[in-house]
Amino acid sequence: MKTKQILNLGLLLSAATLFSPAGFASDVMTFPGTICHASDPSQAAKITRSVAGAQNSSSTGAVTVNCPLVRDNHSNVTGTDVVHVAVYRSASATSSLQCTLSSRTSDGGAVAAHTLFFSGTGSSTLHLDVNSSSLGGYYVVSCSLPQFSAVRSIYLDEPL
Amino acid sequence: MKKLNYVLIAVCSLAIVILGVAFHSGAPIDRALTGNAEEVDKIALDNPEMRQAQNDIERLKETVIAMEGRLNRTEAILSELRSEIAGSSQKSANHFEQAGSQLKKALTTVQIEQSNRQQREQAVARLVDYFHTEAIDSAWSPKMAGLIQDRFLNTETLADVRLINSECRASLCRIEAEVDNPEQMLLFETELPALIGEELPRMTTFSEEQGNGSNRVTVYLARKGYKLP
Repeated sequence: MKTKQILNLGLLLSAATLFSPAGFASDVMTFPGTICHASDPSQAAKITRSVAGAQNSSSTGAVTVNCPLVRDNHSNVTGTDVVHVAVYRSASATSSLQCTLSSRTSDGGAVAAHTLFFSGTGSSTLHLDVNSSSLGGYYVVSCSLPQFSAVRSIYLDEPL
Repeated sequence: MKKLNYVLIAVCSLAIVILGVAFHSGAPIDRALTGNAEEVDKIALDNPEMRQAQNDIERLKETVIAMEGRLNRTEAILSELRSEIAGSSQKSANHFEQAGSQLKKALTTVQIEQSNRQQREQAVARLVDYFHTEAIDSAWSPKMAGLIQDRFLNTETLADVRLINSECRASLCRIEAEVDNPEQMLLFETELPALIGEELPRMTTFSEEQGNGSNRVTVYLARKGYKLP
């Protein structure tokens, strides 16, 4: 009987922890890939921006795109919780698809960055995060897109 | 007995009718009862006391009318003054609000800059301490430091960036470089992930302006599978 009571108490505490407000203390925003622009203006014509995101439509080489993220919480210094970048890499790509999440100061200075590569084919999600940010600073995702590869969307999860 | 009752009823009815007429005509009861109002007025005019009383009433009426006029003018002036005061108060409130907002903004900017500077100094101190106390992975450290140097030397776009030192421990590497201008700095920051991001995916950068216009850049990079301290 006593064991059953302890077990019930444990279950209750677990449920309280799972559903407590602290468990949901984050702020999520999603962005379409079409917000991404070519870093180099001379390469802009190679980027097709559509409802399906930003795609390198050329067959000649990789193009770097920058995707600005709207930072809702601009007063924390602990960076992001997680940033998921949904990408697509074509079978005809000759280099890896690479994305970097950058945390920067309001005057453009580098604070922190996290880079991931995808060398497979088809759709994938890159899970990025930075553990440092500055007051009033901003986040940018930069991706190097090989031939016929794309950024579909970006999911930003910030601590509140 | 019955006759007496009829007489009483007739008298009462007559009295009720007379009173009703008096109320409806608005005339004083005595006049209604007497039935000759003009005669009453004539008597009043002939009476000097009554005449004096009527004159006094007329003067009082004029005084009241004059006072009403003054009161109206005073109220108008008061209303004007109130609206002027209200306008002035609003202007003052707007002025103070604007000044307060500017002050708040200025203070906030200063506080933000101060806070960011403190945070960066603390982060540098933390990373320096961590880097110096961390053990060296004898297999990985020299290999990784060598790889950084090789890739720097073989990257044309970073030819103008002067690599001063690259050093690795067990989970952390440190690159020190010098750049001459903001363009080189940006190139260095954007090329670095492509250069060694696969082996060292996480990095944090600190730059310090030198007296000669160049920037000394120190980058701490975490080994794959590790987070920055």
